[in-house]
Amino acid sequence: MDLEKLINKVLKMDVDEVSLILEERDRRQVRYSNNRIDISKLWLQKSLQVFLAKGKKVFSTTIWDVNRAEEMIQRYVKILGNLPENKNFFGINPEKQSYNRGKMDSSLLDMDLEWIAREVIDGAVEKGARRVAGVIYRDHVKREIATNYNSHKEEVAGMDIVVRAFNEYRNAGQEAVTTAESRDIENPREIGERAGSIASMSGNPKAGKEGKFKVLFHPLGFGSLVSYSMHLASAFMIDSGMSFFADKLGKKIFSEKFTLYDDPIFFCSGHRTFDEEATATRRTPLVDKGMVKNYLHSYSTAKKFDTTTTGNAGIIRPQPWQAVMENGSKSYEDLLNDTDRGLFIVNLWYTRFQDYRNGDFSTIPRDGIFYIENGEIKESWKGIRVSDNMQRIFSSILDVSKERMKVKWWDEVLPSYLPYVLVDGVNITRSTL
Amino acid sequence: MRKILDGIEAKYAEVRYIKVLGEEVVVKNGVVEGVSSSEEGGIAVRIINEGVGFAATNRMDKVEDAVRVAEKLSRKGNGNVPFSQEKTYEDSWSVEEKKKIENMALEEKIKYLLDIDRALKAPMKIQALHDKIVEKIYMNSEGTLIRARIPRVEYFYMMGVMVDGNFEQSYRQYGITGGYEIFDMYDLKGILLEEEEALTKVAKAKKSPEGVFDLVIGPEVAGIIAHESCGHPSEADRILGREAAQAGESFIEPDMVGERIGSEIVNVVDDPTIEHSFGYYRYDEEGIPARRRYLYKEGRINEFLHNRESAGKMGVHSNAAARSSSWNREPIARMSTTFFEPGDYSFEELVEDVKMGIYMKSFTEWNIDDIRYNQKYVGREAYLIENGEIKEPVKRPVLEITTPGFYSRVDAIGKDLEFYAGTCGKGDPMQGVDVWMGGPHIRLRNVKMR
Repeated sequence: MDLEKLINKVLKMDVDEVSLILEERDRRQVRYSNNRIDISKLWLQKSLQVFLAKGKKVFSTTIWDVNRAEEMIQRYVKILGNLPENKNFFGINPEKQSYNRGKMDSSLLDMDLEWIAREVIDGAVEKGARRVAGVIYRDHVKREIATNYNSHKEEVAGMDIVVRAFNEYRNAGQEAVTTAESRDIENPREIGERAGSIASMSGNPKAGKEGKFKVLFHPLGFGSLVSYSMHLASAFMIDSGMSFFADKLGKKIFSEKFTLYDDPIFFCSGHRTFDEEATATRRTPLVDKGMVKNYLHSYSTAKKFDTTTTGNAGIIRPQPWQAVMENGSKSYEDLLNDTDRGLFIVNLWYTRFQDYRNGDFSTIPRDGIFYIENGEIKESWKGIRVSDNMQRIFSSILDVSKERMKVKWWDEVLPSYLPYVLVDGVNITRSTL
Repeated sequence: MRKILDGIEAKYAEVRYIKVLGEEVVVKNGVVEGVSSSEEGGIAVRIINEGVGFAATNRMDKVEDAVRVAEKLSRKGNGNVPFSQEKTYEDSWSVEEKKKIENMALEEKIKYLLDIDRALKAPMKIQALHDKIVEKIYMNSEGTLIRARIPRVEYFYMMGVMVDGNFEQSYRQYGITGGYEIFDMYDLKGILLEEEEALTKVAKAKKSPEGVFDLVIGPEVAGIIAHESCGHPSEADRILGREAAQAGESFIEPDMVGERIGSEIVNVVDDPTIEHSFGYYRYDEEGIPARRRYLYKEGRINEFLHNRESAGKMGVHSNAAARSSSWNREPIARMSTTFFEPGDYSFEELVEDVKMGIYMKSFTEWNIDDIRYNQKYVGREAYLIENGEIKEPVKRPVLEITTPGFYSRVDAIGKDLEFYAGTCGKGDPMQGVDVWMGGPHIRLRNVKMR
């Protein structure tokens, strides 16, 4: 399909602004559990994402039968004419863009996923795991965009390796590695070994206790908190009022140690060079040394907020691409030593808010919960919950490690590059019956 | 499709074609933020030899390539893949739309949402109205051929009120299998106005007291509990560990059928055959006829939710729980409509002999661990009960309890029954499937509340 030709035809229809994104995707997956491969999958997909505007009237769709694109767009243009105006829409980005050079490590495309799965399983078992489960993904995307004002192409590839290892007491350890570079996963067995080691270290866990604890979060666990929060930093959510970031721009409300970016330039699996209106992506500080610096914007939401786009379109609903946190100067071991009485938590899941506006939430630790006394891991726990407030958590960060890890997990954790994070006074609760 | 199937060399193979026509309108704080329409379709094959290979494509020029790769992948396994033996069926089924989706003009949908928006005073509100018509053809190498046409409509809202700096929020989903008769089944404007009033009352209320109380939960709370701590742990693939790295496992072991989980009056079922239900189906995604399943019966673990893979591993027959959310997803064990069966108490009878209690009518935040044992529900609309009477509203009561802890404290079940819609998440890549969950009012004795 010639996107340039298509957009020229569409612009002759009764529309003012258009964004077309043609995406061709070749994705592989291997899922495994109980130390064996359950299923190997392949997806071959091609789609055309369409955004149409006439004045302040907007319409969007994804066309899966791209051979019928022109005919379908003609139909959608007729619908567009009858829609009410979206007074929050201020156009798509008209400024000429200069793009960062996209990168792709082609050697990811030739990797044998079934071999990786077996290596990961063997690595975990070698470290004492009884059962190992997980998933390996390899994604390869060719993406091309054309708008009234800009056009560009990119080709990206990424790989995810997720492994959850169980010991004889059904206690688990987990690793969820993501990358765009084959050198990161030259030794997949070692990823399995790390998960297996956590599982073995967990032993037979004790029932956890309630109270306020210093918590050292693994990058994966903190990634869950950061990922949920970044969705709430979208200008769409700020505008709705349903976000604890609302009315906080320019205010220093978090810890000095907390600096968070949306950074699709960073070369990892969330790497991309343009957003959904062809704005060149960039590294956007959301929180700078505790101060809320930016929300995530498209051109249109930025106009409404009297600022400039951050390259995060979704034209109507801006979205985060990749979380990156600044690191600190202390090692993970140093942070562990700094913990007189606390917990080390590897992973979190099922984060839910009872109050989006103020940030009251709870989430469930899993895949390694360790009680620390005087800088040493004393025992493994189970059955606890973090019941706290997101603003309070981010304002109580005591320190972050110098090591950072590339993590991504399921629908919980965005592609992220994060340190270990030590947080003071985290409220831990548990079931009482 | 027959040609594709005939060209595959395998112990077992299936082909699925799914096409979905959909439309969605989103309104945020009085503004029509987005209108989208979609026509999505594709073909998937699942092939079993020494392993299982799966391929999906929406590119008709790539179907042959996809099938060849899936066949190759199916030979990469190193063992026997147990798959339950089932009868074969040839059938077509569809669901009637009393008010056809195609006849509902976009302008009417927009007007409906804007009318609700204008009626509300809440400063924060998002609404979405989504409809779809799903057409499927399923065929396997054993001779099963099922055609289906399934219309569904769903409505979602999110609302926040602020009273003197105190914030309260609510979000709910309403959905049916059928057409725009959904607007006759639910008075959505009335529901949201009631909800706004309730949130406003709660925003001014005091925090719910801590201590041991009798607890009466409403149908919405009963529904989420049935879904989370009965439906999910009864999914056989979780029990067998296949979802271990994602949605997790289950506190239930394969040999726990018959073990006590709660009081004798507790019956929780999952039933895909309830008319209009959001997760309604007549045949599952492996061509097995749907039926009601008693997951917890008379307080005991009774039956698991199976697809053919889990059934084969456990040496039983599938009970038609295989669902795939899209043309490009594999069928896995899922819920449909999960609910507590009603008892014989009226709401007044449930409340009348409660000396000191809490009525948790609806919920906001909730979560549960990945073996479905430790769970938390935070009340959204809630009241104190004193000497058999509903008293003043209280803010955000918290129930944090284990699964057997909850079910064993149930001492009376109402005779009412309500359902709520949801999108259940599971699988990797994620598969959100349409479900209902529900129940009657239920009373528990002596539970710790915060």
